Amino acid sequence: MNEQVVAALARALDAPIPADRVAAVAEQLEAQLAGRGGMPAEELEGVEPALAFEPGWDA
Amino acid sequence: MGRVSGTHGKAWALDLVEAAGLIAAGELKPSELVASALARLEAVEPFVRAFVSVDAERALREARKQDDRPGGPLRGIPVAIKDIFDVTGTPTCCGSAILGEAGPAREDAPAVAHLRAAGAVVVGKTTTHELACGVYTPPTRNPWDLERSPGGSSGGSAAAVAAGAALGAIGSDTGGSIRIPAAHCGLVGVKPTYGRVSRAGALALSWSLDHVGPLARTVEDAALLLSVLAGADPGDRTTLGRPSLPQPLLPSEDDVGSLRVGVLRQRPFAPLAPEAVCALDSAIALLAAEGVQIETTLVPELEQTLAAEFAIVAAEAASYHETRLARAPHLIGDDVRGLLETGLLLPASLYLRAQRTRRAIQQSIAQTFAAQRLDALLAPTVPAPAQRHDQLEYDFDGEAESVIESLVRTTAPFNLAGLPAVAVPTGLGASGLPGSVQVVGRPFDESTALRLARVIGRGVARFGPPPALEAALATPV
Repeated sequence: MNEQVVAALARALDAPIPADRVAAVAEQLEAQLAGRGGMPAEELEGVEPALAFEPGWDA
Repeated sequence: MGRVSGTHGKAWALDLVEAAGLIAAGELKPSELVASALARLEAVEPFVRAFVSVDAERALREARKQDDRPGGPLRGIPVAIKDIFDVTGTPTCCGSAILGEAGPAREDAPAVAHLRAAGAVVVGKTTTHELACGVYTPPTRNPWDLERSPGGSSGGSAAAVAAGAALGAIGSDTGGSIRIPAAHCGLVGVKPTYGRVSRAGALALSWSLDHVGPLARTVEDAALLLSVLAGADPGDRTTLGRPSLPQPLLPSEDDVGSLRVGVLRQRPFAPLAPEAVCALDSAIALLAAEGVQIETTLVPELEQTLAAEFAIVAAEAASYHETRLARAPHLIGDDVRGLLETGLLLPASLYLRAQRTRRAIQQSIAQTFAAQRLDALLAPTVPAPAQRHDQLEYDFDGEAESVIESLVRTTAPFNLAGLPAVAVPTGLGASGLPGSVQVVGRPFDESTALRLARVIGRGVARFGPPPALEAALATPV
């Protein structure tokens, strides 16, 4: 993971990541991205995320 | 630890259900039991360091009030509370300097309120790995080997119960944080179904993965605590409209011979240390001896557990702590801080991929239960015994793996699936440390998981007080 990309992303998102933390975050972010969040997209066709929104006001 | 006779001075060694029975029968006073636990706490705490605060006077006062009046099922039972739950009058510091100046809570978290309403007496609040995010829980030491970690993040609750300072405790479990310390400390730990116990009044780590549950010395003790903790709470909408726990949760006359259990041995439940293999095999033998039909079960989607778990936790924890991270990041330890910072930058697409993977895992497990007509799953709770305080990796026959990934890969599948999972000791391994397996039930079927765990628990020799701790206590200062 390019540290400049991480620094630019942090700036754009107003994320509180100081310069001396960028290298460590870049390393962890690279590991997270490598995991791809789990299964390949083609194996998840038709699968909705495990998120739910309930419109009822008493919920 | 089992029944003691003669003196109430060692009442702390009683199992919770036994103590509750003696109190109900008028053979033991709540104040005697609580005084015994507090004396034990005072003796062991310098060695174990499981508590962040103890209010002995209040505990004794509350216990005395119960001496001469009838009470609930936990009347006079001393319990410990992980310091992520609000307890009236004490700060909730969550193991973090960033919350170190929190003022006293104005009311009990619902889980704590349920325990008190049933008669339990809170003796103190226990350590947690910082922000309930980690598997070491410094500075707490494992009563079975003081050079080792009790696990985490509910390490203080586990160490307190294992050491005899409380008869039960509560913790939280986002990726194994009840079951890992339960396994490391030789206890029963229950992660109930998602939505079974209110999370209100507790620090969140990951809204969609956090679970609240009990730690205790026996399956019967944990079942009693769970029956008190469970229930709908308007403060946590995930608990509304859920099926009730059966009463009794554990039938006294039981025949598990008609049940079918699927055993998980493939990744992420491999590789295992030899002691974890022995633990799993001994649990299978105990269930088979009772007539339980044992099946081999494969759920290939579970190989994606860690990628999905860490993506969801990082994104949700970062969002939950965003203000704190901006305000005083230097007050958060580097390991947790890195997770939060990374979570702020994760693409939404990756988070959603993880939540879709989670749904796929849930569906695959459901299909497996149906296809094999299973009543429960059986798996190792952790792949190896407790790590040393400074140990960063396990070595599985030449294959190095970080401690946190090792411990979480076997427990997190059931956080993702939201299923009830009961960690139960399988006895002491070759190293003298406790082994453990977990029994996993269908959604909201804690009862079957507990029934099977009871068979395993009854089949192994009951633990006495941890020898390492007793030796430390016996050594002149």
